[in-house]
Amino acid sequence: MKGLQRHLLQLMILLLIGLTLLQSTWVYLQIDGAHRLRVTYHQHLPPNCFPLEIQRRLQQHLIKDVPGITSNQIVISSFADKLHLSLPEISKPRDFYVNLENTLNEQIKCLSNEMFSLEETNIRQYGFRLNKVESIQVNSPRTLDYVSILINIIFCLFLARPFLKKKAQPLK
Amino acid sequence: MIYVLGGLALAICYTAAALGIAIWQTDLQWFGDITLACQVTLSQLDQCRLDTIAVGWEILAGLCLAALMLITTLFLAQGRQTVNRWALPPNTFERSILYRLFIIGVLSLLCAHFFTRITGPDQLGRLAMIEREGVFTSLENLCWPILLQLYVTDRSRIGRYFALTLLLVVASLAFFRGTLLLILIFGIGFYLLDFIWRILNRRNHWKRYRPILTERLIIGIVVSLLLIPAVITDSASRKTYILSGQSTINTSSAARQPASSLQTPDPNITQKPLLPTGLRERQIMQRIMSPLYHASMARKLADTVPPPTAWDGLARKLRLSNQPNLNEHLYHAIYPSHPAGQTTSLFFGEGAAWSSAPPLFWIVSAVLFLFLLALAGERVGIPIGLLVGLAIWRGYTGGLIDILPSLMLQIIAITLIAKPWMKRMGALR
Repeated sequence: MKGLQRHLLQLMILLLIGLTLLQSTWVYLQIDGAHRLRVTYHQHLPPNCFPLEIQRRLQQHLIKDVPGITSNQIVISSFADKLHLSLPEISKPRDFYVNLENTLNEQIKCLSNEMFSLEETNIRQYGFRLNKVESIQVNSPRTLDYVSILINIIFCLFLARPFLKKKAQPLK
Repeated sequence: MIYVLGGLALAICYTAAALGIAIWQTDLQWFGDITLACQVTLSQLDQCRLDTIAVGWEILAGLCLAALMLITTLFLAQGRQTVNRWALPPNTFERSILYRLFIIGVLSLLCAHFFTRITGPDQLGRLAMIEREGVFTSLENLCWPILLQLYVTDRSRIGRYFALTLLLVVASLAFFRGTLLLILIFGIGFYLLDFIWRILNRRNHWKRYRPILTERLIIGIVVSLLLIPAVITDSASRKTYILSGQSTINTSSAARQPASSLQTPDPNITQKPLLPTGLRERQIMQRIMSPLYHASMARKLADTVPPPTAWDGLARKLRLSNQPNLNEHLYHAIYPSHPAGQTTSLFFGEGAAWSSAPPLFWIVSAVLFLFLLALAGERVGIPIGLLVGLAIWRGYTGGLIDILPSLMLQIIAITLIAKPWMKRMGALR
C-alpha cells in the first residue's frame, strides 16, 4: 500500500510539474511580438438591423484584400454601439481602414434597400464611422498566468514535502 | 474535506448537464437569452453552439483533472489531520464573545431587512426589490456561509438550532432559491454522505452519532418541503423576467433581432408560435446552458474589447470602485438597456479574459488554490471545509476573483469565532 502511495505521489508531482512547465512554455512561446490589431467603428444601424450580414460581408472583404488572413483569425463583436474588430498584425495604412468604413457603409445601403426597404433619405443617417485603430499586444503573459503557475508550484512543493523531509534527515 | 469534494462534484455535474443539453439542443432560436449572447460576438447560431460545446469540454476536462488531483492528495494525506473534527468538545463556540457578537449582528441585520421589506412599496418588481435591498442581500450572502459552517461544526444542540433558524430566515428573505438549495445540499446532503462514508470505513459508531443523524434527516425533510413552495414562488416571479428578456429581442429599438431572421429568410419559420409548447422546460434548459454560452462569449469578447481587470473586479467587490467587474461587463454587452446585472461566466470566463494560456490551466489552478486553503485550515484546526466547498461552487459560477474578498472575510470571521475552541484543542500555540 505504501509503495502504491509513493508511486501516486510521484505521479501527482510529475503531473503538476508537467502542467506548470506546459503553462509556462505556452505563455512564453507567445512572447514573440505577436500583435493583434484592434479596430473600432461607431455603428449606427437602421432599426431591426443586426450586423450579422454586414459581418459576413466584412469578413469576405478582409479575406479578399489580405490573402494571408483566414476567417478564424478575424474576431468581431458588437458592444456599446461600436463594432470591434480584432485582426492579426497586418501592416496596412490607416487609409485601409477608412476605405473599409466606406465599404461597410455601402453595404449598409445595400442591406437597407434589400431587407428593410428604407428610402435613400433615411439611409444617409445610418452607417459606420472609424473610431480608433490601435495596436495592442494580446499575447503577453498576464498576472493570472503568473498566479496560476505559482499555485501549481506551491501545490507541487506541498506534495513533495515527504521527499524533501526524508532527504534532509541525517544518515544514520 | 467532504464539502470541498462535494463543491467540486457539484460543479462537474452541472457542467456535464449543461454540456449535455448544449449538445442535445441543436435549435437555439427559441432560447432568447442565448441568442442575444451569441449576437454580441456576431456568431452564427450553429457556430456559437459548436464553440460553446468546445468550451464545455474544456471546462469538464479542467474540473475532472482538478478532482483527480484532490482525490489523490486526500488519499495520500489520510491520517495526517492534526485536529479531528469528530473529537470536538461540546459547547464549541458558546464561550466565544465574538460568536455572540456575530449572532447579534446577524439578528440585527435580519430585523433591519425584514423591516425594510414590510415597509417598502408592495408593487415593486423582482429586479427593483433586488436593487432596493441590495445591501442587505450582500451582507446576508456574506453571513450565511459562516452560519452554515457553524451549523455543521457546532457540537452544541442549542448552537446548531440557533444557526439553522437564522439560516432559514436568511433563505426566506433571499431572492434566490439557490440559497435554500445550497443549505440543503451542503448542510444536510454532504453531511449525510460524510456519515455514510465513515460508516463504510468503520470509523464511526452508529449509536454515538444516531441523534445527530436523526436530527439532520428530519431537518433535511423539513427544508426539502420548504424548498418546493420556494421554488414555485421564485419561478413564478422569474417568469416575467425571462419573458421580458425574450421580449427584448422583439423590440425594434434595441437594434438587435434574432439572428435567424437574417440567416433564414424562409417565411415558414417566422410563422412558428412566439411561445412554443414546453416553455417551462426551455426556460430551465436555457438557465442551465447559459453559463457555458456566457463563458464562450467572454473568450471572444475579450479578443476585441479590453475586459475589466482583475483589480477592477476586486475593487468593485470591496465597494471601492464603480467600474463594472467582468461579469457585469458581460451582462452589459448582452443587455445594453438593462440597468444592472451579472452573468455567470465560470472559472473559464475569468481564465479567458485575464490569461494568455488556455483557460483549462486557470480552472485547475483556481480549484487547487481553494483546496490548498482548505488543507491549511484543516492543519491549523480552523473549520473552513464548508466555506471552501461553497467557494468552489460559487467561484465556479462567478469566478475566483469574485468570491475571494468574501471568502477571506468569512475565514477571518470563523477564525476569530473559533479561536477559544482552537486554543482548547491545542491548535494555537
